[in-house]
Amino acid sequence: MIKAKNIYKSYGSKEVLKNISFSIKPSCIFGLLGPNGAGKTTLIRLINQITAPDKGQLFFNEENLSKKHIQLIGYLPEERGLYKKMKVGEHSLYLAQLRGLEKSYAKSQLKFWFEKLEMNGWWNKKIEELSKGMAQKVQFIAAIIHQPKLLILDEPFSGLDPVNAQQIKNEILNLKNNGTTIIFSTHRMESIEELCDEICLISNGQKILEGNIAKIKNEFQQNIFHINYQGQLKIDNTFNCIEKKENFATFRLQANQSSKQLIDFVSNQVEIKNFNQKVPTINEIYLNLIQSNE
Amino acid sequence: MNKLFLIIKREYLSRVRKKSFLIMTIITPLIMAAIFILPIVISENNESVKKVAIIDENNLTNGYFEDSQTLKFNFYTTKNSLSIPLLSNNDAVLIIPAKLNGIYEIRSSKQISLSLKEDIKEIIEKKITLVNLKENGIKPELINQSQANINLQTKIIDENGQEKLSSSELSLVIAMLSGFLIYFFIFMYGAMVMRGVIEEKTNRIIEVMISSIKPFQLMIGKIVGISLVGLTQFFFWLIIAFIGLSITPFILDSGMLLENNLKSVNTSINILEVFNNLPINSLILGFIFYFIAGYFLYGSLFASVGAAVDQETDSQQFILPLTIPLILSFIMIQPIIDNPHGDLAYWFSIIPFTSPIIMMVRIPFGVPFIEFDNNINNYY
Repeated sequence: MIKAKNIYKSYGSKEVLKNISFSIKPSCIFGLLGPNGAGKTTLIRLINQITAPDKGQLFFNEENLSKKHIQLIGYLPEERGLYKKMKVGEHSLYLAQLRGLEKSYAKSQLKFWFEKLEMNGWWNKKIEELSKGMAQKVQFIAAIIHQPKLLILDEPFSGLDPVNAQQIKNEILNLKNNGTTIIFSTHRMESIEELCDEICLISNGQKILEGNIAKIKNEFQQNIFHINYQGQLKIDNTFNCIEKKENFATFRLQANQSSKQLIDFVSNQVEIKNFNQKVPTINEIYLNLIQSNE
Repeated sequence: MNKLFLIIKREYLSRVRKKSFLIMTIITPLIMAAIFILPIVISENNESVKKVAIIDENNLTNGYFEDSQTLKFNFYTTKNSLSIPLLSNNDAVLIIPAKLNGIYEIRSSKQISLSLKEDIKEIIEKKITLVNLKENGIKPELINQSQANINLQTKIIDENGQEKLSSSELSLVIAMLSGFLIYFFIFMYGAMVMRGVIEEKTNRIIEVMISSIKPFQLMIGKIVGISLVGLTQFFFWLIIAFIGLSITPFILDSGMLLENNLKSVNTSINILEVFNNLPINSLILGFIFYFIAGYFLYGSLFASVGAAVDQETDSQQFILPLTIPLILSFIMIQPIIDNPHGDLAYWFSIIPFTSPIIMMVRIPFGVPFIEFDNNINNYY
């Protein structure tokens, strides 16, 4: 769907993006991670054609990214705002029409979304009367109203209460199921794990990691196993036990040891209540990589 | 194109619908009218009759002082008459010396006005001059007969050889007014463009906007939209002015006042004819043209200031270089009114930065169309 090839971008003497390449599959949620100032927003702006790369190429469905693709992209920027003095309905209609929608069609679509996101009765409210979270919902609708093929969401949940965040999350998943490709940039790792299929981690303008979440987790797992048991467990040097409490032990296996061997070893002595492998969270992988990168 | 229209529409409607726009549109002409009418009305009512007591022991000035609309004289022939009540009952007490060319003295309980002093001085000087002339053997009738009183009328001959009555005084007033008006419009609406740009930056909508439209479209839309707001206001003011001019004579009789004022300068002038002979069409067309051209020039510069700063408070130092040519043209209004067809006027009309104000000042004096034409070429 989107492909970036050796992208470079500098602002003045500061190199913001260095040789970034990635590819995003259709109908997937692509998480863009990185610390503050890593170059995420610049990358998003390049895809939106707000600025252009100094070097490198961007492709949209195998075509060179150009102005005609703008209609196919929806964008919810991190720093968002609306005209304060305008009314919600009027403002949404304005943004929808700027996205190329016919007035009557835009109106019916807006009515549909206002109903869906429980925003009935907001139409004649002024933007300045809305809370931050409420304004965010208006902006979310403005980003998806023209049914974009690619939706870029930069911190979509900031300022939303848990109920509204869940509502937006559901809509994001719905959009994905209906074929929309989504680029999702956030610092909230739990929503990355919950929503994303693929991630790309950038730091200091360089790509550190890219790929399928499950695969990455698998790659980064450290062969650590937790066991809950009943009985007296004696531990010898066969396996490396890194933690032992009453009825609970944690082992780190060597490369030549399998989990089956561990199960056999333990079940010979005690009754196993629970056996699981410790899977690293994206947060742990992220911290690990960022720290080692610095 | 459609998107550009949408932006123009939003920029226009969001400003015209504001209450402040409506209030300004109605209140400004009222303030302007008040500025012109109030002084006339107040000075009319201000001219109360001044009482002057004259103490002339030798009866030298008998018959010199005649009561007028504004002055009333009382004669006393004894110095004893000078008393506190006399001072408080009169605005001034004039004491005539023993000889006509002696020192005259005015006494009063309060400082008298300069005009009263001048009036009294003028009467005495005139009369004594007459007396002196008489003493030198010149008859007063002869002097009256020799007194010239001419009537100077200004007329403009157009290309067809048609004569038109004109008034330099009225042209001057209109020139000052239109110069001021266009200065005000360019500055106010130019600054409005700048504030619009800053608003979009501070409330962060700019990122959403330029991800759906070209920045150029946004800028043109904003500038055109705001210029339409300006023109709307101008047309409202024109309508208010025409209504005002047609109803004020009935309410205030100020048409008479204006006519009286002009008559004092040029007795046989026909106010209506002069008004009709003013290049009204050129004025209105000129205003629209110079507003649009000047505003586009300054508006885009103001927009760039808006883009360069983050907050309105930071914009002051960038605005200064923009205001210098505007203020310069404003200062130039006076010398250009003195010589509206001279070199100074011509060259300031050629420079795009100063021409809107300068040309608006010159149009009431019947500026040659070729210069108007030159200016159009200048802007394109």
